[in-house]
Order: sequence, then structure tokens, then C-alpha cells
Amino acid sequence: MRPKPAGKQPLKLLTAQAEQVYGPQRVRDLAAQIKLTAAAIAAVAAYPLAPETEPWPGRSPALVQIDDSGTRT
Amino acid sequence: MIESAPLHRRGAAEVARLVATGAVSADEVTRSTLARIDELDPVVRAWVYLDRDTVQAEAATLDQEARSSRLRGPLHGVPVGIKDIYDVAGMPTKAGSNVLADATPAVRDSAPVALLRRAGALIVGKTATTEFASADPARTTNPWNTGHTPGGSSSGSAAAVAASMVPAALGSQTAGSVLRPAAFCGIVGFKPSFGRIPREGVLPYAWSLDTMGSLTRSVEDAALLLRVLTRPDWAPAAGSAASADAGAPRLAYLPRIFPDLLDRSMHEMLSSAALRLQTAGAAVEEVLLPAGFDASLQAHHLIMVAEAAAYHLRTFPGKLHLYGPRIRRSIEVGALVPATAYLEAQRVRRDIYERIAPLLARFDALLAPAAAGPAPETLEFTGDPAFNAPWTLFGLPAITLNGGLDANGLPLGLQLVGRPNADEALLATAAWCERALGPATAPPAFA
Repeated sequence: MRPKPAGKQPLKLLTAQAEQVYGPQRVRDLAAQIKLTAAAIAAVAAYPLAPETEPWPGRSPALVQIDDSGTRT
Repeated sequence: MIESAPLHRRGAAEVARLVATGAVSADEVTRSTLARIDELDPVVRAWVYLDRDTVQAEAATLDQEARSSRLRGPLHGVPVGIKDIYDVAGMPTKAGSNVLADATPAVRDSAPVALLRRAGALIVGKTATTEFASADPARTTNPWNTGHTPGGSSSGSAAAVAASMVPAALGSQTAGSVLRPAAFCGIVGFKPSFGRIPREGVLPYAWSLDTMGSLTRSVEDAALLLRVLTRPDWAPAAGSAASADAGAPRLAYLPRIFPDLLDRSMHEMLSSAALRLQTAGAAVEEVLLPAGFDASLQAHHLIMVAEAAAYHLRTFPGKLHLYGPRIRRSIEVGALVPATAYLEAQRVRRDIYERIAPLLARFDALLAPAAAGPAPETLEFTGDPAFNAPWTLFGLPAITLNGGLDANGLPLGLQLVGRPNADEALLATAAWCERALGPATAPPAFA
């Protein structure tokens, strides 16, 4: 029998199949890592950023010095 | 260090002085080192590769040179351990992984090892690492209690130094892999500014985070190694040089960083250390980190797993089944991180750095926990790097000092974080704090 398209199968069925192939521990571990990473993506997306904020390093951090008086140079 | 201390308890600077003056030969140092390893390593399991013949032959050469008043440099005759992600000519680099189980000996030294050799160091062998410097643990035990993790990923380097097998070892840090094992093992772990120590010939984990560092038993030795390991083209930051007579430091005390993760014993040690430093003359001011600082952990996670996936999937294709479970799932999930999320994480990294820069400017160092608590009682988990990862993310210099012992006799580490690229200034501050707090002590069973 041809399997139904993956996107239409219930999550429980997919999980059970994955556990048969990979073992329950590995499926649990991978699910935990996916949740952790998805949460990180959500947290970063929710962080307020100004439009002009460039990705690290932007200007090299080596160029952003702070002298003893606290002045950024 | 008292003069009667056994040779294996002497620090790197002191061994170098003894060899330079002819009080001890490099051969004697080597014999003492190998005997110590033979005695203790069946329990500690810090080493994965030793090259006895080569190191003894090298010691003989160094002695010959010393007798002719030709000292190679400030580490002439000092034994050093190398984390097994650095290439050392003639030794295989296996990174604690089945993926590299059949690795052949490296043809040439990695850049940091070459700098060590040029300074006269004796390269004793390779120390155990978690798999590819990630989270699947090595077999190494903690010399303070062998049922506890030594931390990681620089597990063998930290344990070997704590057990006085060698006075110094190389580590690397992508999240907390130098400072956390140093905290768990009661020694000094120093991660200089990003890029200060070259990393050619060292296996990467995450390119924009990986920083080479050292494990020693004193700040003096950490400073000595930094002088030797600094990349030749490094330009010191203006105003970052340490003053030889650096006075009492200004410390920003961070007792409220990640409070949900912090063990009570660590909180108490940190309070006590802050008070002791203040009593000794430091200006200690409790400060709060800017709102949104916690997002540094999420940004760090995304950047680390995405970069690790990019490296491993291309470098070792078709070998995922050979990896340990933790690094494997990091690679698998890292490959799923959208490019936009990776870039957003890099923007968050930049923004938080800009927000903490004014705080860094007002102080000589931040004073924070080096770990959540003492070494966890397990060999299956190397501990949480959350207390180190933000500073690695921002490329800031950071150092662990031993702050004391908990009720079970396990070390508790405190962390000092310096200003950008001001490595020498941080070491001067750390030396002052070390004098105020007292030097690192040896684990009772491995003194």
C-alpha cells in the first residue's frame, strides 16, 4: 500500500515510524534539540532591533575600542 | 610557591626559571612528568596520546642547548599538554571522535603548537576532548572527585593541570570550554580576546566563536602563555596594556546573572569573594545587565549549531552515523537553521554588545560566576556553559579563578570578564584578585 503523503499523516504516526527506524531515545533527543532551536529562533525574532543594526561584527570589534576614560574610539 | 614543593607542583614560569638556571634539567622535568602521568592517568584519563620517545629526545636537545646558554624562549623545558583538536606534528588528531578514528599523524604543527615549540616548550602529548569540542563527554574524571565531570570540552587539559601532571595545557572555547572545566577543576582558565591566539591547524567548531585558550594553576602562567601564543600580527588595543603596578581594580559584580540556573553554593561563594575583594581594596559595585541580555544565549546557540553544521556536513560527508548523539543532533538541527535566523542572531549579537560596552568601559572587569555551581556528579554530562557563552559570543577576554570549595570539597570558580582586546589589563586585574583570594590549591588526592 502506498503511504499517505508525509504532510498529511498524524504527528503520532510519524513519531512512531521514526522511533522504529531511529530508536525512541534518538527521536526524543532530536525533538528536544528541534524545540530548543525553534525557541532560540523565536527569541531572536522577538528581540527588538533597529533597522540599521548590522550583523556581527559590523565594524570589526577590534576597531571598537574603549579607552580608560570610557570613551569609545 | 615554596622552594620545597615537589617538581610536579611547580608552575610553568618556575619550571622555566629552574631549567634556565640549571637547577633542574629538561630531562628531569620530563621524567617527573611522565612518572606522574603513569601514576595518575589510569584514574584521571586525561591523556589520549603520549609520545615518550620524542619528548625525551626533545628534552635532551633542550638540555644541550641550555648548557650552551642557548635558551629558545620563556618556556624552555616546560611540559605542556595539547587538547586533541590541535595538530601536533607526528601525532594523530582524533578529536575524541569515531569520525577520525583512523586519522594519521599530522604532518605539521598547528600555529599555537609551533609558537610553543619556538618558545622551548616540551609537547608531552594530546589531552582528551569532548567529541569535536562539543558536548559528548570524554572519559576523563575530575581530580577533586573522580565521580564528577571535569567539565568540557577541554576536559583532559583541565584535569591534567589540576592533577599536576603538567603545569600548563592548551584548550579552546566556543561556549564555555576553557573557563568551565577550569572552574570545576579548581584552576585558572584563560580565554583571551577572539583572534588573539592563531588557530591555523586547529579543528573548528564554530568559526565566529572559536577562541584558543590556556589552562594553568596561576595567573602568572596564563600571562606567560599568552605572551608566547599571541599571533605575530596582533595589534594591541590602545590603552589596553597592563600596568606592572596595577592598583586595586574596579569590579562590576553580577550576582543576578541567569539566577534560575545558579546553584546556591555558587551564589554564596560569589558573595563571599566579592566581600573579600572589597575588603582587600577593590571597588566592587553591583550592577545589572541591560534588558534583553538573556537573548545572547539564544543567539549563541543558533550561531554555534549553524556554523558547526556548515563545517561538519561539508568536511565529513556521509559520516553522520559515526558521531556521538549530542554533536550529531546539533549538526542535524543546525543544518535546518534558516539563513535569516542566523543573520538575525548575528544582529542581536551586535546589538547586545553595543549595550554592554558602556558597562565594560566603567570597570576593569566584570565579576560573575564561572559556572552554575560545582562539577555535576556524572561523567555523562560536562555541565552548562551558559555563564561563559555570552562573553565568548562578544569575543571578550575572560578568566576563571578558584573562589573556594563547596561543602563537599569541590571547587567553585569565579569569572572575570575584561574589556575588548584588553587581555593584559584583565590578567593584571586577575593577578590582583588572585593575591587577595589566595592561589589555587591542589586536589587532596592528587597533591
